[in-house]
Amino acid sequence: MQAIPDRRKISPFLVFFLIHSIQVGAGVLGFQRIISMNSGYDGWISVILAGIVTHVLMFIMYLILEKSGGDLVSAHTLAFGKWIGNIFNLLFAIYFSLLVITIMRTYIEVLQVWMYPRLSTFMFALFFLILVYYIVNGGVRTIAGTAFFGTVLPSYLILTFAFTFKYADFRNVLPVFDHTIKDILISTKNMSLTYLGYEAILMLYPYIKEAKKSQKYAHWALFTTTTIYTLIAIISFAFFSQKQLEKTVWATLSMWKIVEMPFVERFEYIGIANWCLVILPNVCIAIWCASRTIKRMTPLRHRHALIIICILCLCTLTFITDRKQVNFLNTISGQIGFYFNFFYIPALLVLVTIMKKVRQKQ
Amino acid sequence: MFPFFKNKKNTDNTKKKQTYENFKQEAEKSADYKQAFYQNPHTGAKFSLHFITTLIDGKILQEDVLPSLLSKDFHSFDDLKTLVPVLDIEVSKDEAQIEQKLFNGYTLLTMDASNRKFAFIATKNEMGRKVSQPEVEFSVVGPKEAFVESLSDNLNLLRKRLPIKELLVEEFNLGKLTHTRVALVYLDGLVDEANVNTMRQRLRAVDFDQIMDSSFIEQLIADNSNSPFPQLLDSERPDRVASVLVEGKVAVMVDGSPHALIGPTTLVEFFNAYEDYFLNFSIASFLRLVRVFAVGFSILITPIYVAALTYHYELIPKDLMATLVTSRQEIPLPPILEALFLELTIELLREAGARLPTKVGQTIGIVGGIVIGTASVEAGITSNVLLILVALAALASFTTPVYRMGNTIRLLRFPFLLFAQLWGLLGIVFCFCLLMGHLLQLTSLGRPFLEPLYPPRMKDLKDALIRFPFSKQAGRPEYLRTKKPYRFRPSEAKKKLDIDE
Amino acid sequence: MKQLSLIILLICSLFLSGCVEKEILDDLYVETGKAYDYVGENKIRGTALFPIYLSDKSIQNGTLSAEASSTREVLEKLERRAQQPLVRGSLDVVLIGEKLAKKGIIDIGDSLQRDASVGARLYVTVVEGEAGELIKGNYGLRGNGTYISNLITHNIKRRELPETNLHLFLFNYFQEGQTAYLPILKQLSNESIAITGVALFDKDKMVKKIPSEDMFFFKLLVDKLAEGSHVIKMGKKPGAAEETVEASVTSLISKHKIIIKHKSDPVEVTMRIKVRGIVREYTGKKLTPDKVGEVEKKMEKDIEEKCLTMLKEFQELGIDPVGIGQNQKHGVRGFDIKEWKESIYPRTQFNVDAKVQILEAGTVE
Repeated sequence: MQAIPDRRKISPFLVFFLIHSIQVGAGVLGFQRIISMNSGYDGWISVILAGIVTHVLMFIMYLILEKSGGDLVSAHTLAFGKWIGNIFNLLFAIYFSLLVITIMRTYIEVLQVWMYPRLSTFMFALFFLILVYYIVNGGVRTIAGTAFFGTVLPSYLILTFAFTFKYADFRNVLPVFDHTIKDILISTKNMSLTYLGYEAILMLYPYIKEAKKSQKYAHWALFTTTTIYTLIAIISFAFFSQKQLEKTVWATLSMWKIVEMPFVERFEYIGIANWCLVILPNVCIAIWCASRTIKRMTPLRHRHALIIICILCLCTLTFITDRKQVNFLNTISGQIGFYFNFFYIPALLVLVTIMKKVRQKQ
Repeated sequence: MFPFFKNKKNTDNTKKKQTYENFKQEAEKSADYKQAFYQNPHTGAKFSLHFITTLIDGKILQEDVLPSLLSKDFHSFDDLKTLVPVLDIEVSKDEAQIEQKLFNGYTLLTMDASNRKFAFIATKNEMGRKVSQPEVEFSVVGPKEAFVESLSDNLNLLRKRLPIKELLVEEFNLGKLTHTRVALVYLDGLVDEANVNTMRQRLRAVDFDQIMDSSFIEQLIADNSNSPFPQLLDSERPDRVASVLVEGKVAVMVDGSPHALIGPTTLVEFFNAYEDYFLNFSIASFLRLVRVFAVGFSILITPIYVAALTYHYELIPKDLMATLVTSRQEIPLPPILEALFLELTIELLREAGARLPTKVGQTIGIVGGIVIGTASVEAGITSNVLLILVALAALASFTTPVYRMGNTIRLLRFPFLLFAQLWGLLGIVFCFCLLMGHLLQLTSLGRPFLEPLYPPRMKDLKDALIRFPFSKQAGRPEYLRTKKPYRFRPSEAKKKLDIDE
Repeated sequence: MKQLSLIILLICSLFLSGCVEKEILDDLYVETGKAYDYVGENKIRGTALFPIYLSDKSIQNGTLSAEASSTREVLEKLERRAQQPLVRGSLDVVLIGEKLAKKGIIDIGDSLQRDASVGARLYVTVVEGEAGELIKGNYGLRGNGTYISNLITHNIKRRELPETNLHLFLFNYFQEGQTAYLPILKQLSNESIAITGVALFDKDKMVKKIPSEDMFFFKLLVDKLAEGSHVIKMGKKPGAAEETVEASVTSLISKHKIIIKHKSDPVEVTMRIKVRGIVREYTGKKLTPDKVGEVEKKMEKDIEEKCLTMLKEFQELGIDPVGIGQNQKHGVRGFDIKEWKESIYPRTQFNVDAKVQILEAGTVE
């Protein structure tokens, strides 16, 4: 892998924003229903558990990256050799493209249900992808800037949940631990889709200055995400009664229906429009990771790989039309992400450690 | 990524060696080329003066040069320096210089005795504006001196304020036909060499036929000339330029232009008026925040009106509904066309006001603002709510202290309007993302344009959107990467006295 | 050049097919109120209320009625009669006739919940009589919808109406161990409406009405912080024949606390109510501190009696607007709602413990 010039790298502090912004995406809009399906109002425990798991996985990922001295492609080459490694690289690229498709389609669905029923999926996706191409064209620094603004500017949205306190009953979550451990663990697994995205660090690692220092920022980012999700979960549980929550598909958005400010009557339109800024870094980072993986495996240039992936995503996106299919898409992404993170990453660590020792001996 | 070398045309290597005879033939076609032949009555030396009458100050020739050349012992070129009381006399053999020097106000002195040598005597007629008040960057408190067109005068104003040897002036000659003198000014030992080198390289690479103003230079050396955002700050105040040089920036001054270019610059600098430094820091911070808010308001308010009325009627507060609906009921146009009509009217008024002479221009302003506005509401073409919003937005866009940025903001409103018409609030956010993506990729002399917002630098934020008092600004801005990052050592904490101690 | 033509092509296609449906403000009838009445088996009548803005900034109330078998079909029929499209984004009040309330209103609740443009703060109320008739009146200067919603808002804030809106209604409806309640309106004349009580629901059918005199006590039981006033009858004036001395106490802050002994059998529930108020009116002679003490004690007795009666009535009817069941759930693991409803709740014992503290009595004694 050719060395990356210093003026293209980002400072380690920005890793916080990168990781945090790629995690907060479309999942946070409706995850409350999913976790309450199995563990009822103890779901907030699964949120915390899932968060802890991500910390462990991030730690493992940093170990892999340090050992392989580069990014995921280097790790694959080290562990499997070039040809089998390339198969895994391709799978990885497909996985990230899947994330892109999931996030975009979910957001477009939210738009179509809440704001514009006649919004053309193709048109919006096309223009969104053009915007994404423009930003990714600017390199990692521009993407990090998007992540920074995508975290800082919409941060006021957290404050709007204060309006729900008047109608919330926080004792709804009592009694605690009223469900079996098995239920809670199932919810933890279902929660994984909402936390996905931090695997991007596997491709971003070479672009960070003094990469070892960035580990603590990455963990801070995961911690922030976990805290925010837990807070939102608890507030949602206080605000909705359990059967009501089971019917509410997008609980976070329904909570915004109760916000009332003197100069706007209904806040959810502002919130949903702002959400475009929140998911923009998600799509940018994921598409960058996918196209970079392709560039590292094949002689294609990064820009060309980017265009190809954009076109593929756009085509796939347009064919997913109704609620059932979107649901299916979300579930599949969640499952694949879960198995990838939970099983494949530790296995990769083991393989890389072994192969490194073998290579050293040679 | 950013082209360092703008015009890659091959320079004219095969410059024809101008001989004196060729030159004379060409120059004689012009009515103001004069040749005068004299003979010194005492020594008999014959000499001739050649000059462009319209460029020289005749008094110097009449009072200083001719009397001394005609009255004393003038034998050869070596006597010139002892006889003639003029500072700048140059004896030379290089015939290629003749055209340049003659057209810069020098007088050519040739002697029949020796044909190869000749002398140039400086007799330039310095005609230009006197130092006056700044037009664009006027400040209520503080100095009211502004740059003028003459480069020497400008450098005088600058040197007056920084009387140190580190202030270096490098001169270039740009513009194939205009031969404009361009000066690159910086504080040696303080400024980062990379900035100076970049500027120097870009100036050397300029290949254009006319350089009339510093803005020509700015457009030619800008990092991204497709962007409506100016990437170099321009200022007509010598105190601002001096202050900025001390911070570690580089200035470019062009002969014939009262604006100096400053780089590298950032987006937040365009909201800073130099007057902020003359006021107390709390007042200055408040004013800066008002400006930022005004700019945001100016860009977004009309698109939000269009979006709310076209797509999001639910957002409108109940009490405002009655006013809005009644004001819109008679209007045949949808909100977007109404808004476009008013915006274009305001642009028309501005352009008309700018082109007309002062006396007529003021009347048009009043007529346009009051009469047309009221009449269009009465006629039912626009609603009065929108009229107020558009007028306020126009007013708010004038709050930017830098004129160039005000123009950019005028332009930025239209894409937002179009996207608001297309997708409502979502369109506004989408357009904002586009704008943000553009600004993130913009650089000024290679430095990120959005500093200190992104990459976030806590120290530089002390002087960006708010201003901390001077005692807290011990360091120079980080993004300039100067060699002396500290202005002064923060003093040790003063011992806090107890009450009545 | 190629790039430029590509950009132009994109922009043109954007404007042609990327557009979304416009809802320009002055071309709409923005519904502010809806009324549903029961007409017959499987038939309801829906009336839509929308303001018509006149050019002198005054507001006229426009109404449209139609009969159909479901709420959505009502909307369709109404649209066929309306000059401009009817939109529900600004819906303020939904009025339901008494008869329909007794039959079940969850369909209406569901249609309001499912529609993304309807807010969650709108007021759902029951109307004594015909809701359609009420909505056709002419109340106030700013439109009926604003009038009714303002009426309800200020009564919730400062007076004896318990906090209610669509969200709370649905919250209570779906909550296990709780039942819903809604305010009741009645049309007094073509220009005035009054709140006449609170309707209690079992699931989604109205089963009981709490009259307006008892709303204060109901509010003490259900709302977290309650205001409102109550007139206490003190007993005969010494020397006078018929007149009773009355003291009007306005509560500034009242809190209730539900203390349940979860594990005991039968379950014991104690309502601890704390009222801090001021005396606004007193028809007796002098309001000395002793008399204030008397007022306090009488008020406490009133509260305890009335609240206990109410709680017992709720128990008999099998409804639970106070949320005793939900409170029980907070303290017990493995709460079974069926068991609660069938065996435990009917046997629960109630206790009411009130404490009244009168802070001030006005400027004269």
